[in-house]
Amino acid sequence: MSRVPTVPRRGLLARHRPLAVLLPVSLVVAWTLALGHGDALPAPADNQGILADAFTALALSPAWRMLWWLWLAGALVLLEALGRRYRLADLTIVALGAVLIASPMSFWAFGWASTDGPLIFFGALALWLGSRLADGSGSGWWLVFGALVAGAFGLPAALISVVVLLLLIGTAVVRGAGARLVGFGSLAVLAALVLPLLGIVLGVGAAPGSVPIAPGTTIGILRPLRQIFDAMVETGLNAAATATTGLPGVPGYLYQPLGWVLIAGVIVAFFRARRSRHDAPLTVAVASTTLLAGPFLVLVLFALAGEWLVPRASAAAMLPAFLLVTGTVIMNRAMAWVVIGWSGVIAVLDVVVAVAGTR
Amino acid sequence: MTGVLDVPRIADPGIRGFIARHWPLVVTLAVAVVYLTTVVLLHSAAVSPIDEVVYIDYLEKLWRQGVIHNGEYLGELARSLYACHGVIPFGRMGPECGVDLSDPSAFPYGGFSSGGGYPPVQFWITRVVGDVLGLIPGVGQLAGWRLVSVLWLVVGLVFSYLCLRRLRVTGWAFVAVSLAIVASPIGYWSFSFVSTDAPMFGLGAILLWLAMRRARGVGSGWWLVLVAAIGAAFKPTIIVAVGLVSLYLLLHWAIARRGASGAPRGAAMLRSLASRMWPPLAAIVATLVVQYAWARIAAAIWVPSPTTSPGQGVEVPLSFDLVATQFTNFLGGTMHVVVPEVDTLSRAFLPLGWLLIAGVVGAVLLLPSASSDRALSISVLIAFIVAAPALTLAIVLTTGSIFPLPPRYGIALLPGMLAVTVPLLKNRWAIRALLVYVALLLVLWLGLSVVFARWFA
Repeated sequence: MSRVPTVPRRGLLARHRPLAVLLPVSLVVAWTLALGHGDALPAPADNQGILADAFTALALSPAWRMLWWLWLAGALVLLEALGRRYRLADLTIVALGAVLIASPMSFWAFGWASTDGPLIFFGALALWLGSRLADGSGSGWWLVFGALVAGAFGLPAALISVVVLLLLIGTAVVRGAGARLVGFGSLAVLAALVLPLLGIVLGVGAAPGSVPIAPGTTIGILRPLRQIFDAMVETGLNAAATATTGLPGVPGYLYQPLGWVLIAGVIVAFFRARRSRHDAPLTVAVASTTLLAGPFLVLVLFALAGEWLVPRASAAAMLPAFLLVTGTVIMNRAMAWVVIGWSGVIAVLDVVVAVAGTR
Repeated sequence: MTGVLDVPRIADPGIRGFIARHWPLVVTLAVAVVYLTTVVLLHSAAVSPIDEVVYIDYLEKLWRQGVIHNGEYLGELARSLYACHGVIPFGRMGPECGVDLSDPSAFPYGGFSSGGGYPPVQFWITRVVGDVLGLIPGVGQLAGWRLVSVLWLVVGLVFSYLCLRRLRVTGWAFVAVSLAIVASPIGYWSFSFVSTDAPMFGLGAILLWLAMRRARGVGSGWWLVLVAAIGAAFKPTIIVAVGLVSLYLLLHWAIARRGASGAPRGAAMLRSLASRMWPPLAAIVATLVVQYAWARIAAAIWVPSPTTSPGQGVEVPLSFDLVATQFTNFLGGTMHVVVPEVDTLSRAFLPLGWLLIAGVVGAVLLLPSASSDRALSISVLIAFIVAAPALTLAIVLTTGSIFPLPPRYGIALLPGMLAVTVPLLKNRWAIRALLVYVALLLVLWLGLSVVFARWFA
């Protein structure tokens, strides 16, 4: 599949053909979800960060739900920009966008006014800013500022800052760009922790995770190790791919294949990573956080809150990164069409579940 | 490009030359055989949860009666294994060890053997070879029978290696992915206990190798038919491998035809298709005939019993949902699904599931750039998705009843997974990471074997 557009196309629509398809489709799906949902709060009510309480209050308002499409639209715009930066074909970008629109994670993230919607947007934004910085354009301060704001939507925002840090370290190693990149990446990770820490200190909002083990409880050495180990395989790629909170009432076999595409994309990209390839730092960074995301969150939560927690599906911020890396291994049009077609089926199910299933 | 001075070295014909040329296979076999033999010798007489007690009962009675009949009770050895050693990880079952074991109804499934469904061929092989292995000092008869499963792994790995040699890909990637199979739950339960799944891996690899030769116009198609028939005389699940190679040969023919400028048309095309497809079609017919013949024989030799077998209690009504869930069964679980009740460790094996999905799906995502055999990549993906629902329907049609198929029934497809996954591994760090992970799993299984042996001494 041709990867590099040869002749620059004129006109906004011609230059952004993937968005010309994805934005209207996403609007229809997201608004149907927003209007179709009944009065019940979403089952995985795991709004996080200092804005958690406010968002939980907004979740039932159809108007706010409709506004949440803007986060999805923003993520799609950034996904297209990232796809161009990594020389993906238009059809591949459409396939990635279709997965983003239809995935069960988006069903929860954009169907209600939840913190997962902004997290997906900020995941794409951090990746875009980080990639620009790695390529020698843009200021690193934007990356730091973006991470600071993203922290308002929960601790998982720090995950994508870790991906960007690893991307910048990889770029520094491969291209010898030096300490500046690593410095900005590290600052971004710290910036993403500021607001979650503030929330914990002030007792505002909520931290992600299951029931905490109370401080002072004797839990020995094995329990924390098991928490870390569990989080290693259950958070990150597995959470994004198997969609632990799937579509209510819809059998898993219908949406599992979308997860297979993500798993295959991330792992095979790592299998084929070569130092000489432009996308190698990104591929290695994303593959590393596939396993490191969970332990990172567990340890940070312990450091900040003093409690051992197993983060649940905190992978929303990582979804754009998983998608982008997957795009680098979709080499044939037929598979891109299969992904688009399957996403279409799931999008229809999203709508059916929203209109009929949640009432 | 070969220059004048790049004269190929004359290969050393001795054992050192063989090792130099085939070191990935040698390393893999050495590690796998040493590890599995150690595990087998660590095992106590406690049996695996995958019906090993039934197989041991079959083997024990083989010289006396040649075959197990439908409606037959488990023998004394099997009953004492249940009562005195137990089933891993459930523990002892039936009456207390040492008391009267003559009442079969005190044992699981009313004390009936489910071995009547199996033709005796594989048990004859296991008994003869296993008894010989059992003569090795320190091994013993039961461990000898279990070591036969290791030999099936060796057969499977050798023929998988030959498939990959044909694709000109081996190296450390072969070592890593092969040992991942060995270190997986399906590897542990199939290759270190008496198992009817182990031969499916070996025969699946042979079928794939024969099909790849046939696709190049090498070898007789009758070999494919013969191996398929032998496989069917072992276990019906060989049909998934026969289906895979049939699809592979069809796709290989279609892709080659599409790429050829002077491809035959009309009657010549049909002759070309028939020449390519008669072996796999005959292989499918052979498996069905063997299965049908065995079903008739088993029905003719069944023995009446005072009570009716309660069965294993796994049968469920046929439904759309049952068939639909099978589409994700083999790809979603063959490598990492543990025996359901032993799932506290399931997270450790989850990345093996990712490896299977990544290899099988990734090989198709990357087409046409990454594969030297497009037909293989496509047919392996389709087989992993379609085989389980197809097998479900086949079982319903032939037996009239159905149960949710365990993912291990996809073991005959794992040589295909090896063949498409190994070529994807280009990154040395990825191979090293996989090797480290596999080493940790092997250590974990060794530790578990010690624990099992102590618990069920």
